Amino acid sequence: MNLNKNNSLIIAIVALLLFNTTGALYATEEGEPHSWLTRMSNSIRTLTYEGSFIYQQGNQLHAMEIIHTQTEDGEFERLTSLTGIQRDVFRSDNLVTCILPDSRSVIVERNDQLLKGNLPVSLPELDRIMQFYSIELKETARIAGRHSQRVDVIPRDKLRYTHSFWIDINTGMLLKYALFDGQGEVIEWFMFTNIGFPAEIPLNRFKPEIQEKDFIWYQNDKNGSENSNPELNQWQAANLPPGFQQLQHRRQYKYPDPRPVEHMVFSDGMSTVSVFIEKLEPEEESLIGPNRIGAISTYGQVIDGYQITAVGEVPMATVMAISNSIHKG
Amino acid sequence: MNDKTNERLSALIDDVLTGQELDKTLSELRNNQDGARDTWERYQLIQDVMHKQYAIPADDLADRVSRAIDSEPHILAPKHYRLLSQTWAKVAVGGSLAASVALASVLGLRVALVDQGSDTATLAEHNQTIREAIEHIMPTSAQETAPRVLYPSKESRLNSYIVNHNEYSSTVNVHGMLPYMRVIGHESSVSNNEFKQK
Repeated sequence: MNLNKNNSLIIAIVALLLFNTTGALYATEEGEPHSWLTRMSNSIRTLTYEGSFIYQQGNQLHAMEIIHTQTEDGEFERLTSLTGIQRDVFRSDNLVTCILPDSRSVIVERNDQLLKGNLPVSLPELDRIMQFYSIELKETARIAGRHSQRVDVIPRDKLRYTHSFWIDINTGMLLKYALFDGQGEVIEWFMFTNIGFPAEIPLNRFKPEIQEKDFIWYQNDKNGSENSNPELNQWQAANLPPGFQQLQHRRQYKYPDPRPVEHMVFSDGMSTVSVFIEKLEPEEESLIGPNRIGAISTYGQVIDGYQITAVGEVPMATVMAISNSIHKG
Repeated sequence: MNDKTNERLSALIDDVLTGQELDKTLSELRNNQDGARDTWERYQLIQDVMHKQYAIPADDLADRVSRAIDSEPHILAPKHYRLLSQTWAKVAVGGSLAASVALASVLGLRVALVDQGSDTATLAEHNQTIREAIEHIMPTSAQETAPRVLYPSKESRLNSYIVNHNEYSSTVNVHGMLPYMRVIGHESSVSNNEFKQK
C-alpha cells in the first residue's frame, strides 16, 4: 500500500515534471525566433561593451573598434576604423559626429529622432515583418570565444535581402551579421574578433580627441519641422513596393547650402530606404541612374528640376520602385 | 610677378598684411600690376582643386570673394580657423611658395576673417572693411554680378545622403550599430562609375 502510494507520488511528480518540461520547450520554440531578435535589439543599445571586429562591404575589408555604453545620461557610442583612412563616428542620444581626417572635416548631425533610440527597443511591427520575412533559428556557433545562436530573417519575395544574425547566448549581443542577396551571395558582413563587457567605460573615451582648430566643422542642426517652402510639401509617395511604409518625412539643411533637402524614410520593418529630394540649379551636377556601394543601392533621377535619390540596403529593383513612386501631389 | 609679390598676396589672404605692405598689395591688385589679379585667381583655382568638396561655378573674382564673405557660416569653433590655412599650406606642394599660395582661396580668406575674434560686431566690421577693399579693387562690372552659392559636388551629396540614411536607419532597424559601420566603411569607396553627369 505504501509502495503503491509512493509509486503514485513518483508517477505524479514525473508527470508534472514532464508536463512542465514539455510546456517550457513548447513555449521556447514558439517565441524563440522573435525573442532572440528583440533581445538582441535591446542588448545592442543597453549593454556596455568594447570590442573589435571585421567588416566587409563589397570588396573592401575593414577592421573597426567599437565602444558603447548606456548610462543615466544616455547612450554613447564610438566607432573607429583601424585600417585604411581613419574614420571616427561618435554618437550620443541625438548627436552624430563624423570625423573625416583625410578631408579635415567634422560633420555634426543633430537628429532628434535618435532620442528614440534611448527608449527600450522592441522589434517594430513584428507582424508586418512576418508577412514579408520568415524568421528561422539555425545552428549555434562560436564567435569571438563566445557561444552564439544564428537567427535568419528570410524574405518571402525578391524585393528584400536575407539577414543572418549570430547572437550571444549569454548577453544577447550581436556578434556576427551577414546580408545575403537573392543568389545567396554575401554582400555585407561583420564579425567580432574580440568583445568584452566591462562594468563601465569612462565617458571621456566617447569624446573626439582631434585638435578642433585643424578641422573644418560642418553642423546640421536644423530640424525638419520647417515648412517655409510649400512646394516641397507637395512631394508624395504612391504605389510603394509591398510591405514598405513611409515612416518619416522631414526637411533638413546641409551647410553651407541654404536650400532645403526633403528626406522621406520608408521601411518594411527590417530594411530602410531613404529618398532625398532637392532642387537643382542649372549648373549643378545631377545623380542619374543606379549605383551600388557595398550593401547600399542608390538610384537617382531628376523630376521637374528636382534631384530625386533613393538610398537603401535593398535590391536595386526596390530602390528604383520607391524612387519611381515619388511624385508631386 | 616676383616672389615677394606672391608672398604678399598670400599674406593678404591670410590677413596678416598691415600698413604699407597692405597698401602696396592692394595697389598692385588695383592696377593689376604684373598680372596680380590673374595670379590671385590662379591661387583660388588651385585651392578649388585641392578642396574638391564644392564645385564652384565659374564667375568673376569679386563675386566669389564677396560671396565667400557673405556666406560666412555657423561653424563650430571658429576661433581657430586661421590655423586651418596654415595646415593646408603644409600639406600642399613641397613647402614651396606654391604651397602657401594654394591657400589663397575663398576658404582661406573666409578663414582669416573668422579668426579675427569671436566678437560679432568686430567680425562684421572687419568683413565690411575687406569687402569694401575688394570691391574697390575690382571693376564695376564684376561688382554687379549676382551672388551665387557654392554647390556640393555629386559625390559630396551622395555621401551626405548615405550618412543621413544610415542615421535614420538606426532608429528603425534592429541592427543598431550597423548603419554607422556603413558610414565608416563607405570611406573613399564611392564609385560613381555608373552615374552619368548631366
